[in-house]
Formats: sequence, C-alpha cells, structure tokens
Amino acid sequence: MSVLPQSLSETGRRRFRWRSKHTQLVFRYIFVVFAALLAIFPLYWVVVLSLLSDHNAADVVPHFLPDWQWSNYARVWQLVPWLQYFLNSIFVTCCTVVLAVVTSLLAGYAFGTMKFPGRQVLFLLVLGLIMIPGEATLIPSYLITSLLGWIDTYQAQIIPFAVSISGMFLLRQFFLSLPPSLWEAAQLDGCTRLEFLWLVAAPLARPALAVVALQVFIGSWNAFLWPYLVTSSDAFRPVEVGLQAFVSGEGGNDPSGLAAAATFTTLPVLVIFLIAQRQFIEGISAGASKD
Amino acid sequence: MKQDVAMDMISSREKTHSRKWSIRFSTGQAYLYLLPAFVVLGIFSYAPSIFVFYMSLFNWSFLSQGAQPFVGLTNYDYLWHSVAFWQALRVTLLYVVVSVPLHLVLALFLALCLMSGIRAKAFWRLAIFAPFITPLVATTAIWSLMFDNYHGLLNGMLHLFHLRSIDWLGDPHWTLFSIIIYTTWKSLGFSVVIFLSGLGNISPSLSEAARIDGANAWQILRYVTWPLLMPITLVVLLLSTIDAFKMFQPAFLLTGPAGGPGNVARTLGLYLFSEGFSNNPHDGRGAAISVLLFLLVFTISVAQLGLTQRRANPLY
Repeated sequence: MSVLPQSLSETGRRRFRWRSKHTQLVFRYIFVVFAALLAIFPLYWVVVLSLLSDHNAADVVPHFLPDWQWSNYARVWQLVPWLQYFLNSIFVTCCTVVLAVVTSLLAGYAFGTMKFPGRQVLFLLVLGLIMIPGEATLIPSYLITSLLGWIDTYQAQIIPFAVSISGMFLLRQFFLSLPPSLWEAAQLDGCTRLEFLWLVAAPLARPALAVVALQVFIGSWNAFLWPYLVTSSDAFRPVEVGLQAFVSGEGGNDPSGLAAAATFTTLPVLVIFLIAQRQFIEGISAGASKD
Repeated sequence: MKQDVAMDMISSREKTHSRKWSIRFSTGQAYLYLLPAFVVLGIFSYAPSIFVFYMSLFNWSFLSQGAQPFVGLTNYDYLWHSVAFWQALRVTLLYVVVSVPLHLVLALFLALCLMSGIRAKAFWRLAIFAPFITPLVATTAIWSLMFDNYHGLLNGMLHLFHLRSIDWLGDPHWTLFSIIIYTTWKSLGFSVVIFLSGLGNISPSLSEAARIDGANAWQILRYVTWPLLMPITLVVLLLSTIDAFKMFQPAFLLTGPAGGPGNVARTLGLYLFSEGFSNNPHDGRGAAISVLLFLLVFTISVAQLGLTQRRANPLY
C-alpha cells in the first residue's frame, strides 16, 4: 500500500484495495487459462489431426475441427504389429510394477522401522543415486545387460527398473510416521516382522503403495531410450519403441496416420492417469515436501 | 537342589543366547529386506557407475571381441582436443542456462497464480500437468508435426497472421530454442505441482499477519512467501538443473542422433550416445564423456545441496 497517496480517504483506500485485488485475480485467471490451454492444445490438436481427411491433413492452413475420418486409425493399425507391441508393453509394465512395489516396500519398511548398523550409510547411498544421471551409466549398463545375455528379452526391460527410489523414500517416510506402539502390540501378540508388514503395515500403507505403483506404471509405459537400446525384434519391442520406429519409417510422410498412432498409444496411460490423477499429483507433492 | 540350580543356569544361558541370537537375527533380517532392492541397484546403478570410470581408460568397443586395449587417459586427451566435445559442452551449458531459469520462473509464477482464490483449481492443475504424463515419443512426434516447416501448425498460425514462417527444427538459430519450447511445455507441470505443495504448506496466517501490518501483495510475496518457499525452490532448482544437464532424449527424438543441422542441439548426453551406440562405436570415449557428465552433475548437485543446507530455514 506504500504507493498510495496519504491524502486518500479511508473509503477510497478500501475501494482501491478492492479493485487492485480484483484486477489481480483477473490477471491470474488470464495467465492460468492461457497456460492450461497451451498445455492441452497440442494434445487436442493431435486428436483432430488424426481424424482429418487426407486433403485437410495436407493443407497449409491449420484445421482445428475434426472430419471424423476414423479410417486413419484402421489404416495405421494395419501397417505395424501394434497388438504385439501393446502386449509386450502390458507384460513389461505389469511385471515392473509388481517387482518395484515389492522391493521398495521391503526396503522402505527396513529403513523406516528397523535399527541396524549402516542404516544411515545405506540410506545416503540410495540418496546419492539422485545425483547420478542414468544417461551417464548408459554404456556400462548396456554392457552388463549384454554380458547377462539379456539383449532383446523382457527381463532387460523389467529388472533394471525393479526398484523405485522415490517409492522407497515415500514408503520409508510413511513407515517412519507409523507409531512404534503398533509394532510393540503386535509383538506381544506373537507377530513376526514379516507378519506385521503383511497384516498391518502394508495395508495401512495402501495409499502410498498406490502412488508408487502409479509412478512406476507411467514411467515404465513411457520409457523409451532403454527399451530402444535393448530390443531389436518386434517380439519384445514395447509400444513406445514401436511408435518411434513408425515415426521414422512409414509414418514420416503421413501426418494424420502419425497423429492416429500417437493418439492410440497414449490413450492407455492417459486414461489410467485421469482415473488416479489425484493420488498421483498428491504423491508427487508429498515426496517433494518431505525430502 | 544342585540340579535345579544347574538347570536354571543352563536355561538362563540359553535365554541370553537366544536373545542375543534374536537381536542378531533381527539385524540380519533388516539386510534381508534390503537385499532385493540393493541387488537390483547394485547391478544396474552402482556397478555401472563404477565401471564407467574403468571403461573410460580403455579403447573399448562393443563390436570388438576379446580383450579391450588399455589406453590410459587417451580418451580424455582426445576429448580435450576435440571440437565436437567442446561444442557439446557449450550446447549443454547454453541449454541449462536458458531452460532452467525459464522453467523456474514460469513454474513459480503459475503456482502463485493458482495458489488461492481460483475456481476449479484442480482442473487447471490437471491441465497444466497433463503433458508431463504423456509419453515422450508421442509428444515429440506431435511437436515434430507442429514444428514442421511446410505443414506444421506453428507455421500455419504464422501464415494466418501473414508472418514469415520459421524453420523451427531446421534453422540452426532456432533448433535449440525449439527444443527448449518443447521441454518447457513437457515438464513445467511437474514443477508447478511441487511449488503448489510448497505454497500449500505455508500457513496462511503468516501472510494474513503481514497484511494486517500493512504489507501489500508484492511485499508479502517478497518478504514472507519467497523466503519460506526457499527450500522447495531449491528442490525444484536441483531437479530441473540435473534434468537439464542430462537432457538428450528430446533432442534425439526431435532432431535425430546428430542433433540437428551443424550439431547445434548435440548435448553431452546426445554426444555420448552417438559415440557409444553408432555403427562404429567408441565406447571407451563414450564412457569418458559419461564420466565428465557425471562429475559435472555431481559437482553442481553437491553445490546446490550445500546451498540448501545453509538456506534451508531462513526464518528460524
């Protein structure tokens, strides 16, 4: 309020404050809506493009409403073994999610509820991984995978992602907040640690587990570089790698076909995200504010 | 009588023994729980991080069979004298210096706009977050279509306004900038969500108190919200800086392994990838680039973490 001239009357001052608050809100709405439109628009436009007639798709003037030419989808579906890619992606993603949830749950449980020598050091060791860019270990990781004889297999796409660091943090954080009396009571009832985890702790951690599962699911389904490196045949290729091959091959001169492929390969992950978006976004918030 | 005492002693010894054993067992058990995670991390995170240093000392190639010749620091020497490496470093630094502040400012600004008083906040947040969740390959395919010189949407719009078209990915002056547009679009929502959670943790009573003391909106932002938000800002800064240093998948998908015309978008990541996985791979050299990238990211992360430690709680 320091910009206000002192001579203004109290009502004038109040009105000024009211008005500036409202103009501020209007500007905030404008920016938010503009940003949201910019974020969503490419996704909308690709769906429109996937449904344009051949003539309109090749037009220099942009079209913003679909022609509902569904045959683009049928045409693209014929070109590449998408079904095989989808099955591969589903299998890889499901295995990765199950394994990563189990390993992160066990490790998070140990870090969160048990005292043992080396706990701090081991946890710092995990923390340090954030600072190692996966890109920097690409070449030796590839070497190790090929030494294991895993090139062009499912396990090469699953095992390296069978731990979720952020999931481990999230679950550790959750178990730290669990009252110790719970474990003491369970101990009196003759519960072992594993029984306690299975019967009490894990069921209580269900929301956190859902977040971990979601994060791993989306990460695994969207993964590109690693599957691109370690798969060479259609039998093991996931959808994203198939899409990239299509983009740089047949799809290169077929904008509406390319748009159709981009749309139907993205649909599963977008649907799952929309169903569980609240947990997902809140999981990210929780992870960030507690680290 | 004697027998009883003896029995007692035995049983008590047994007890302490079993107790000790159970402590040891429960300690061992903790490691058992950690084992699966650490086996995976050991093979696919720790071992590669150590082995990459070793590889960088060899003239390694995935294609050659048998022993790989040891060459000492030759790979590093090669990089020191190579134009391509310095160019890649320059491109990476340029990308970091432009994209990180842009990302940070936009994300913070949007989060502040979204913070309070806006209706359907969850909807706007979801919309802004959506690109982050959409797969990389699909989104780069969409943006390639939008950036296209002839049929692209962006040039179509410029055409509508009778402006000169831009060869977004083909013109060396624009290539890296176009990639920055894409990556900002893709990842902004993530940081907005993190900022929003940080803002949500700041008690509204603090800004209310400042308002009562006569502070205006800018003063509240500058002297109340901003210092309290500092820890979260540093988290976002750290994550986005690490991300920016290692960026190369978007560049690879938008401009190909060469990084566009004249390699203007060939970052360190893309350079190590093209050295390591080409038809004539120089994996030792690729490993040396990896080591340098790793050291760069590590140094900057540690520096920023040090900053976090010092500035974590400016008010208390």
